[in-house]
Amino acid sequence: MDNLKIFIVEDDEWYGEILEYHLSLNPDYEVYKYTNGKALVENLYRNPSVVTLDYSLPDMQCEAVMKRIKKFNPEIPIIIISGQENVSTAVNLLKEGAYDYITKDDDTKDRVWNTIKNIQENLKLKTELSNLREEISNKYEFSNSIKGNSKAIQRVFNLMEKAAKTNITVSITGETGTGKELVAKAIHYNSKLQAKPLVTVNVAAIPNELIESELFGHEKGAFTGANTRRIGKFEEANKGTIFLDEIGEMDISMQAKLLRVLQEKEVTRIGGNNTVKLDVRVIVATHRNLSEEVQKGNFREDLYYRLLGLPIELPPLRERGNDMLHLAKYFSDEFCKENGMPKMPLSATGQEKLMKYAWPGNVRELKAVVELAAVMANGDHIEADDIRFNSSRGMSDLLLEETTLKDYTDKIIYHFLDKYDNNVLLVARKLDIGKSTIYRMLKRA
Amino acid sequence: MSKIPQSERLYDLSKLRHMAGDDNAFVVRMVKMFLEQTPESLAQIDQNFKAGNLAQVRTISHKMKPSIDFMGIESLKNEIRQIEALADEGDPNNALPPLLKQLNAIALQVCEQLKLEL
Repeated sequence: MDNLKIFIVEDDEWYGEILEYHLSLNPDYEVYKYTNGKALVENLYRNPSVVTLDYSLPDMQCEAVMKRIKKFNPEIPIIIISGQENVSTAVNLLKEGAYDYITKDDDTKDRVWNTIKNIQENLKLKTELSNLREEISNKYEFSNSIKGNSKAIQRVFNLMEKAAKTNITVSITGETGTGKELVAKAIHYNSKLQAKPLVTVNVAAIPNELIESELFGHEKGAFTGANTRRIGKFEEANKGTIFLDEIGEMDISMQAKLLRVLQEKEVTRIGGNNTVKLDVRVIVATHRNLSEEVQKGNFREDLYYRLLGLPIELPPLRERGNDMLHLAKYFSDEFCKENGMPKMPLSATGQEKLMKYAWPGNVRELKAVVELAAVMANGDHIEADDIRFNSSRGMSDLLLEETTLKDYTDKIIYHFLDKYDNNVLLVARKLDIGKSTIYRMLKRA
Repeated sequence: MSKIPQSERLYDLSKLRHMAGDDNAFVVRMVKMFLEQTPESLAQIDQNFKAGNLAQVRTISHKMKPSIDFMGIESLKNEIRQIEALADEGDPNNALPPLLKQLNAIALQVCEQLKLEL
């Protein structure tokens, strides 16, 4: 952090000198002294970090000087130093935006010192916060958060850009692991609400009986166990974005309450009487097909239309062509970097194995598989053997391999031989085939 | 070392010295400033009092307070505050003249002593 630039405005030379000397003892402070309001105003362009202002200046009213400073930069903290202990003056100045009001006495210089120290801490935190914010929005830059060149994903980028430009409600659909939450975050951090809160609620993760108070908050004593007032997620997200993940899992009675809040743009905490005005951008996501759910009667039609807004459908990984290899390389590189390992490229057979697989768990699964493969690999490449799929949908994946019936038969026989300790007779009996079929196969291999 | 015996000294620079640490130049600068400003302020008070301009008397005495405190001039600490308060009230009982006389005498004496010190 740069030095703190302190401007002292003090017409009493003696006092100004003491203050300047005292503050200059801190090597982090750069202290400048002015004896009247006009001199300060003329030097504001030098961008002070803090101004200490004597209340009774010879040429200008203190309030007027304050106004000029605030007009130049409302963020500059102003410490008023006054010879008189007049409470109402002090209160008024603090209301006008003075950071502190300190009366002139023996301790003044120490109090100014402490106040400036606090300001310095505050500034540090502010800088840190804005750096972090910037880091986050860089992280969620569209091209940084979601990788891919396929047509399918380019279409998604296009929609995301449109979504970020306005405050329209966005509904994101896509299979599990396709990156719905990532898209929601990227939209928020690229929109003009980026400095405002993004509050994420996973509807599926909250029990039905708690979700209302989670979303809308409750007053103290609203129900048994409500020991304190609680601010709901909607209020927390006010002026920013609320992201309702797995909206398709919401209970039908809760759907009615949500619809009301969205329509009225206001929320009442459970057990409360006051309504809170809401100005919240809504993004929802689900892995379900909501229009089907509407037809089945599981999702309210009115809520469906209210939430549809700009629909973004995320393509499953198997429809993203070469993106899969780009992503696999990206995940492997990232993983190796994080773990201080040399880069581990995919061999040709490894790539082939990945391309053949159906990826029911999509990008999330790809990441897990690639990271495991990078760990398992013995050489400097990821080979086909290093890649293991742990999919829970074995059979359908087997069919997706689209190989010959003979290959399938072999696979099945090998599986059972493995299972029954190569007991050919037992396997033949289990599969109801002759033992010679098995021997023939083994011979071929 | 001071050239004036402690018992006769009307000021006490220990507070200023404490603040300055080892920086004697700062103490000297402040003493010089006091020597420059004080006679000027005293003359202004005198002038304004004679002209009946008590508001100015109040302002100037108010400004003298910090220097009197920092230079450790104990015999004027209360007096300067009384002068400020009386001037603010318009001096209804005509109590200012003797106080101003005292201020003048002691402050000038301090100046003389400080000059020796330098």
